[in-house]
Amino acid sequence: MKTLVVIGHPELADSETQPFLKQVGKDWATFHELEAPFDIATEQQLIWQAERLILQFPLYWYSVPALMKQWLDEVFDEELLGPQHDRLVKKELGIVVSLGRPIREFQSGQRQAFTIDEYLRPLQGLALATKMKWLSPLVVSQFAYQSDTARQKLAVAYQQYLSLPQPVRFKDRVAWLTRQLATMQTNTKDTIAQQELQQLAALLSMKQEQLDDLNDNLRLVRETEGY
Amino acid sequence: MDEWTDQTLKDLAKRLPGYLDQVTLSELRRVLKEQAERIDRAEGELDGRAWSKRNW
Repeated sequence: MKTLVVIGHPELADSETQPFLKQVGKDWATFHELEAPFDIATEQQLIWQAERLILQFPLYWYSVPALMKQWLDEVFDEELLGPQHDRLVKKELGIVVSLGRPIREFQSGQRQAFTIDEYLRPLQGLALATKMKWLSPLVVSQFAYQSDTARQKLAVAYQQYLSLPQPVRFKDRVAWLTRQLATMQTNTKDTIAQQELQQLAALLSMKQEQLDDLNDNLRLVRETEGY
Repeated sequence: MDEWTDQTLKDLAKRLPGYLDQVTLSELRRVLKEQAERIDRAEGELDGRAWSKRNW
């Protein structure tokens, strides 16, 4: 999967979230930090080369920051879409949006009144118009206040958002993890760690087989019962 | 999660202190836990269906 992350952050140097995401996602995508003015041909080339395009930005007044809007306005033209308007077909469009407010405020009856999905509707419209497959956005809420545990969870969710078919299925998480454990095993020189990684990978795979068997049996039983 | 798995995960976390390894190990802990819950649920449903009144 060729993933391009386009970062539209007007004050990148002051951001805590962006360097974290770049650090944990560096093996999974190409990172492109926007700086105006843009060389349109280069920007379009980057998009054409990608299979999954991620727009990553902090939410500014319920929208993309001006820098990203300018990029969208200038780069998404007839040339990018091609004469048949089909050059972006089969590509995926994902959104990684960071919030300064708690996510619980983004719903009806709460302070921000609307959901993130509602605020991001224009970008979903862009995906529709350009025939890209829209991915459920990944929301990073109040990164500065997140605990270590929450950040580790976010790191994995982000890595998987960049690399796995979306929406992520449990089975894919297991397969992803199995590959990761194999890589860790290759990368460490600690023989006990290698052994432990191997044992845990074996356990993970054995349990998954057990789960798959159970699910197969359940499917059969449900079919037999007719519901 | 059984004691062996828990201890092995803790030992690995000490042996592999790099941040990206820690991140993967945290996911491994979550996935193993969820896998066990899914197995429990599936076994429960199979049991429940086997004992369902419909099949009496």
